[in-house]
Amino acid sequence: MPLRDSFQTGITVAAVLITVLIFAGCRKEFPYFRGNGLRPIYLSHDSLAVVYNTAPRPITNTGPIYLKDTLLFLTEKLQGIHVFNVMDSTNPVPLTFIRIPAVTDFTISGSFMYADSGPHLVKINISDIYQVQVVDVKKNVFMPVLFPSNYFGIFECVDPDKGFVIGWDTAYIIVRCTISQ
Amino acid sequence: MLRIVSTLLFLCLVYSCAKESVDNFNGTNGKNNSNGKSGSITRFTTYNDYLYVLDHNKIKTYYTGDGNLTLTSTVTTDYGLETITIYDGTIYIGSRTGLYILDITNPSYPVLLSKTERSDIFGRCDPVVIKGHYAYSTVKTIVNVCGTLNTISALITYDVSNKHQPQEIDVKTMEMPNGLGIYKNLLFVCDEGDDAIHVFDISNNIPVPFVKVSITNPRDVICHNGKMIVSTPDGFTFYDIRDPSNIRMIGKIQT
Repeated sequence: MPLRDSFQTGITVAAVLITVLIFAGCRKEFPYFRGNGLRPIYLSHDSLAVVYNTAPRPITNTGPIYLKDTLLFLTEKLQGIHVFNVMDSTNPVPLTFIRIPAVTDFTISGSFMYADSGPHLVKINISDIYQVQVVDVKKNVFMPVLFPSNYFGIFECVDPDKGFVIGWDTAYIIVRCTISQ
Repeated sequence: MLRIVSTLLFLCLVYSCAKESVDNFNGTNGKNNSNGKSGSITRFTTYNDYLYVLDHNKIKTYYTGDGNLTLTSTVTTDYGLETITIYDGTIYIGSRTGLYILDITNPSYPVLLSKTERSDIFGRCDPVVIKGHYAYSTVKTIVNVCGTLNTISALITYDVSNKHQPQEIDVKTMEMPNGLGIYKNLLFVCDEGDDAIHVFDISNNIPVPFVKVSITNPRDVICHNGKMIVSTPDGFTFYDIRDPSNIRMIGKIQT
């Protein structure tokens, strides 16, 4: 009796061991963290450096500003540049909005505006302020930000193939490690 | 010890929101580009046939004179470059760790002349304006991030008569300073912390408080032809500044 028991125990133990070993061998990932954190918001790479005029729109989050003759340019962060006629400073008039995806900054020289669109540097002919034209793009001039700012919690790593990061969302995320085979 | 801690502070913030929420400005005097003037918070500037842009820890120079964009120089610095302005043929850069001065006698190839460093200020959004031999810069504390460790928000005055050795000659504590601008002998400083433009008399170089103009969340300013344009998060306001004792609002756009 005792011998059969120990034999059965041995088989069971062996079976368990084999199962564990099989799973350990097949396993390529295991969860490292699950919980609330930040997840990147992507803008597709195709959208970058595509610049065009739209109707004037509300100002909600200004960035760098520039005064050229009677025109005032204001950055709407990540969206584009507002253009106002300020010849009469008591009555500024919105003229147009220059859509520049992922823009954060710009400057003007003569008839040209130089702006960023994500990682790219874009040169735009603004001689016709209502119909601006991109004349040159220098790609990957600016290093993308890969981390959420002023944040020291958990976040999902940026996957550059998914696009350019323009912000972060709170989300339930799963951060995984992988074991290389 | 302070150096180690400030290096740690810096490393903690190296990926901080430079792009998202830093307002990069540029002083009135430094950005006179034929017919244009920028605010004091900007990472981009042009000078004759050259475009200069800042990228985290790089100053990139592009020649634009032939209609192309040709990179002629990349200067690598510490991380945290925030604002650029050009005054009297010299580049002034505000960064998280100090003020950089570069010579552009050869505009295609900026040469670093000096860099100030403060171990007790680790700032954000450090616009610089210059008048004569004096540079004025605002720095903002970063709070609740890796501790604050004696950091302050302030308006700093530098004597830059020797560009190889700028001297800090005055520090004025402020709530949450932003962009700044100069008009004649007046220095205008946005303070988002106490919702005002602080106007200082700089006739004797060191800023002396003069008047205060109340405005909610001022971000940046352009002074030009007796007028001041102040940007706020959702609009901008025009002021008549010809009579500094009687600064009055004359026009505004606010969403």
